Amino acid sequence: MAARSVAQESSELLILSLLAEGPRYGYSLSKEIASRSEDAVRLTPGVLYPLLKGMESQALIESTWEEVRSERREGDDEGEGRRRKWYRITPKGRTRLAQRVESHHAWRRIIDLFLPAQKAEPGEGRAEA
Amino acid sequence: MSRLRITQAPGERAPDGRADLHGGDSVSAWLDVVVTLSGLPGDESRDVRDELEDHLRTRSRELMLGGMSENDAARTAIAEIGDAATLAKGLRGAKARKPRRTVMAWTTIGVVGVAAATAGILAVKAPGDPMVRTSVYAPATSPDAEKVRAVKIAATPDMTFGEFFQGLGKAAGMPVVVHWPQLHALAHSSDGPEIAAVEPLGVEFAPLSLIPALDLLNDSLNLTPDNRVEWRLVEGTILFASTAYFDRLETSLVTYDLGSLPATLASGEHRDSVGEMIPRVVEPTLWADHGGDRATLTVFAGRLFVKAPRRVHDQIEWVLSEIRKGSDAAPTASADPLPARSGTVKAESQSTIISRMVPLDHFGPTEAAELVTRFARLAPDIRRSEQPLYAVEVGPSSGVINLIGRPEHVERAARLLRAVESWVKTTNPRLDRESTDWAFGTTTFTYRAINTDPTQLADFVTRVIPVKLDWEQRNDVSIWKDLRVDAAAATIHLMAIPPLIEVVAEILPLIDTPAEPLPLIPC
Repeated sequence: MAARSVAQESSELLILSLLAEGPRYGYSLSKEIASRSEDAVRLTPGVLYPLLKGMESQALIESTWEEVRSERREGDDEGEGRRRKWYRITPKGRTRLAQRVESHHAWRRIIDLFLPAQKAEPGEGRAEA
Repeated sequence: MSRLRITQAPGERAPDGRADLHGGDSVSAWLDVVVTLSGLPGDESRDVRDELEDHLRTRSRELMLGGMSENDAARTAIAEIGDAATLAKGLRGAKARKPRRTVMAWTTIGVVGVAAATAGILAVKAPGDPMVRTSVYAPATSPDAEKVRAVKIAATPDMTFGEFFQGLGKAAGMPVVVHWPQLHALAHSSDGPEIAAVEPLGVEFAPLSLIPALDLLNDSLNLTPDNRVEWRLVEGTILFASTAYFDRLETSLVTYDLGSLPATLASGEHRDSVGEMIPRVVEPTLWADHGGDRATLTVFAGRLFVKAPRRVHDQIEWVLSEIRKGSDAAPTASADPLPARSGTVKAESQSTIISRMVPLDHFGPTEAAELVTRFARLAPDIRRSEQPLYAVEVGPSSGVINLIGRPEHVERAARLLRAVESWVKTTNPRLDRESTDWAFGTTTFTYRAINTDPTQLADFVTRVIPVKLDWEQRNDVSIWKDLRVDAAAATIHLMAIPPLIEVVAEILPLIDTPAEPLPLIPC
């Protein structure tokens, strides 16, 4: 299992970016993040759901509930419908996303300024300055 | 606070009358644990439960489509989510976050402390046990560090971060170094404002000692438990930086010899389980397999190879020492939860709560949790207690259950597990072999209930003792030759095979609140 960590500061950015494309529910968010990163980045449920809860309390995202009809076997008692929570980005979330993107670029530019000195090994690729 | 829900309500019975600890829905049971531990109010609790259930059911279905059995799929989905107590704590923390510049009340400290005390990752101080650490940090052991801890500092609305840290140093009479780039990165990772020397703290409080002061500051900055403002005392200088920074500095590779585990845990299967269990109970979010980047663990040749920060090693030592001690470890009434980090604040009732790992030889953790939950629901004193007794599954294949509650309740639950496990281990195989000629004979036993409804007591013992006898084919033979309840006299009359009478005679007083405290017994 070669899952790479996702830094805390990037989690919100990833979630807001995905929700800017359209509504998603929790499991769908975690699957999409893993899929797009080719499993290099995983947002575990233990991190994802508290984070979503916090973002919702800050009005960065909003949610609605939808009934889901289970596809389980006929006659199975547990085949009843269940509720699914869908998340959408709010205007405040879009503003935050724009700030995060800008902040991310700014931070990367700062880091790039230091990389040539720190990565001085011969033959190693240099990051863009 | 409600207790964990059991999967089979009292009064229900498996169709064949046998004990049924296996038919429960593990997803529902796990959700009950999370929701109960999170302590969220009604509607919010229901929403969290529904959302997590949707996640688990969706994931389970996906795994089943891949060829996994339903039970395995459910357990795998649960295992992927990780430790219930940690998730519950995260959900509670997410709810508790307030906008910055809110003046924190003292009650906030209580909430943080209680959350830590019920989070299921507690360590318990056993006086005199050198393996158990009361603090994961070196400063706790040095007089200078104690001096720093005792320093009082107040915060005012216009105080800057620079003034705050320097004020601490001045009060302690020690120089201060603040790693501002690390704290800047910390702020960048949170929703809080910049952390810089000239930025205002944005929080106000009366004079406090260092740890609660840092707690309030960290909470006001919306910093997660994994990465906060921390401090160390380095050669007489107080250094402030982030948890992640100190973790990197203090990371080391350590091997742990599993050969010293009890014989029952020495098999390869259990050794692997220990390797699975540790990342679940010790700082779960730090491990690579959980998406973290600060700790890795490999089991090889009977050893654990762990590369992790020092605070993780300290907790691993404690977990292994608890396993070594097995269930003969006496819970300590003066137990002190091990601070998960330097900022943990004492809660009002923490001295009465312990966490204890109980090895399981013959039960799965889910079955054991159900058994303990039934017990907690029935025992009058535990049911009425302000501190519920929790049984938290450490992992589906861990071979360990984590009991959290008052020491006397935890001890009784551990005894109950031992008694029923002993039955399963020693008598059930004989039942299978000897049921034909029925070599056991019978004996009688009468128990007078003191505090508990005798009907419920009888129902409990007949329900929780697993019997492998095939009742369909052996309906002419019953290990319960007779079982009568005299409600007026509050007595239960039993006639059964001697080993069953023995286990019942041990279990009933555990439920029915003995008049005298139970002596502690070794496993």
